[in-house]
Amino acid sequence: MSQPIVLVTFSCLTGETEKLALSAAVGAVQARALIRLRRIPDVDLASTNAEVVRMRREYIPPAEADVVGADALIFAAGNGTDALSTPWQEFLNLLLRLSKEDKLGRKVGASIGGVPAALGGLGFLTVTQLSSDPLALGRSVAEMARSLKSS
Amino acid sequence: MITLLKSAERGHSNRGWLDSYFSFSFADYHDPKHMGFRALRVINDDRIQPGQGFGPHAHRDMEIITYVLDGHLLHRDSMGERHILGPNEVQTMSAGTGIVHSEFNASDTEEVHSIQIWILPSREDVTPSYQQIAFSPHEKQGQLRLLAGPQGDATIIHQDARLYVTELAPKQAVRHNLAAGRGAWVQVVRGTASVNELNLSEGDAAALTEESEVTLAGTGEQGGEILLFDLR
Repeated sequence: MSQPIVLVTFSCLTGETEKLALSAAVGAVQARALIRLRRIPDVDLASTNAEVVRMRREYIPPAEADVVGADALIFAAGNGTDALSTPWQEFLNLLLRLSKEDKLGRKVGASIGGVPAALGGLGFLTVTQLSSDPLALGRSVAEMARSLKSS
Repeated sequence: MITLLKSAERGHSNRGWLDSYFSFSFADYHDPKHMGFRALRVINDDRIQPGQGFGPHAHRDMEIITYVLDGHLLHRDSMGERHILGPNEVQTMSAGTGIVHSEFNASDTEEVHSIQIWILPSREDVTPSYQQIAFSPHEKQGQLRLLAGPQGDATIIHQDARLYVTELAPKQAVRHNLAAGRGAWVQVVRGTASVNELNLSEGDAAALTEESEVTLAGTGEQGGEILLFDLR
């Protein structure tokens, strides 16, 4: 059976939420999933903060193909960048459109931080907050996605 | 028996920021005849443009060895490791139960030329780890310097395999005995060399089976730098 694909999307300006996202990704890998890590683009493109510059270089933004191709999505929003804030809006609009097209119904959704309220209406088969430990969360999400994939 | 893999027979990919030659099947390059040699699964000869690199991605159950020929690579991973790797150093990452890492050219002006090697571990689910050691260039000149192995003054890997590097001047030679049943993979990473009197150019490789020894010699006007794998 093919491995589930877990898309981890995060917003971060300091590197702290990135660590949570990485931890969730490692959890998913521990559960033998394939992972994609994506960062929500900055609104303030003028920032020269070294961590922001690094993350801009290292990560690409989530694309429709990432979402459609994933079996599970994990969202991690940094402090001050909750799900309704501007950086996330474009991505949430994409999810909303895919939801209307019934393309999220067989996917697992989970969150770290401030995203869950916005996830509720998007039609994910399961919106989970299984653990406050991102590593355990990543593992659980991957296992759930594998189970759904094989059912 | 010695089987040659000429440089031009390798897989090739040029994405602009990354120019890679693959000794074995990797990513979009797939050749069922070149899937690896014993536990050796990947040898990628990469040239990475300044400031460019591989964004965060995951590995599981693989021993990943990186050897830099020119330039410097910046490594970051989910274990919190952050290191710059340059020539005459070796980095080994045991992915084990899972790791996420990124590798970028640490310079905004100079290209990186590096060799990335994957070796299948002898057992799965080991605890992920990161090692990096530096050595004097003299340690590889005219002699074999162990870079990775199950034990010894090297980075430690979870496999009965040993990786050596040597830099040989013209006509300078080193000999390595192969125990019964073991095989060797020889990869010329710079210059020219010979293996058991067969001439190899840069990028060429040779697989040795049922041989009792490997004799490497520098050839041409400059000699060469060679990686030697001794594999169960």
